[in-house]
Amino acid sequence: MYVIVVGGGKVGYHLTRHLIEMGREVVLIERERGRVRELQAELKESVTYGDGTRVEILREAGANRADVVVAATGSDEANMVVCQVAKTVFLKPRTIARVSDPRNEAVFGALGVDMTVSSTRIIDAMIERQVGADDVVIPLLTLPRGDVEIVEVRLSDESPLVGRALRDLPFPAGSIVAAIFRGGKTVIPHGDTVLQKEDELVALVTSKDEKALRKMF
Amino acid sequence: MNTVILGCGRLGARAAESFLQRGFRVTVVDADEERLQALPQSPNLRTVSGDVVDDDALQRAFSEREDLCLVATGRDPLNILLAQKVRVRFNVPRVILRIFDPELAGVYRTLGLEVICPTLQALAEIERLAAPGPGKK
Repeated sequence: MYVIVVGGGKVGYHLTRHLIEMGREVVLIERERGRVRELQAELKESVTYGDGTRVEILREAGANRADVVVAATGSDEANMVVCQVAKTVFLKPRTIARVSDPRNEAVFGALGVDMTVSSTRIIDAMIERQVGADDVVIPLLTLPRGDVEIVEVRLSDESPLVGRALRDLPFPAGSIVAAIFRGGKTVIPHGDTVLQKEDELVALVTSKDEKALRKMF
Repeated sequence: MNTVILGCGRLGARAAESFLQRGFRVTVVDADEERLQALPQSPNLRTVSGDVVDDDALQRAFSEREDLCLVATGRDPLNILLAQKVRVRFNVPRVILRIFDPELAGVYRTLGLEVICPTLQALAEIERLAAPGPGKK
């Protein structure tokens, strides 16, 4: 599998390092020379200099044989251009974009970006979880077209849902619990699965029903 | 005709003037108040002072039904994002955007956007001037 990462900030750097550790073939494109030198000191020939929003730079990086292109710059518009160019000019890699302004997520989904990751929303949800004792729904990923999300909920000790079976709970129509992480194991849930405290639920939910799902917790 | 111009730089400001002369209604959005104030006075002109990156500014600009939008900030990626946002979110039938990079201009033309590429246009003009023509030696 060949991955191209655009943007050598903290997100791009750690992602690239992780991918190399996992044995993946990866190239990181960074457009600031000074930063490229810093990155090359550690990541060697996996780092290349250039503006990843430009067609020829992506081509030189081997975008034609890339399986995945990750746009991880700090600029939403640059990330969108990277994904669209990758999809339009090259052989349709999967595209993943980092989004800083959550309001851009829906637009990205409608415009051919396969997945968006919004650190703003994830961190916001995590802060909420630190502040309140309530169960908080954390958005993990927005799926293609931007209208379905994968979210995670960790049940607190006081959660009113503990001890009840899934089928008895008022989940909105546009949602389904796909997996439960329980004590280091993954449980594939059914209607008769009873929730326990500290369960981590992973659910698919349409953006339309996300509010209703949040209200349950 | 109702028009919105995003970005009041050299192109945006001149386009606003030209549109007003044609009797269009024009809304210009820019974060720089001075640039907006330098526009010609006209009852058909409305200015929105705000960052085009900001949804609130866009919402104010597109409060009515618009026929045409010109996206002319100084940055290619921003113009590209804005043009598509305007098309998707505010249902503007005609969106024209400026892209300096000729290759990106080509990409977005194939994606169906109305792109002006000043670099390519200048190049065509240079080629025309440089070409040996009648009466030249």
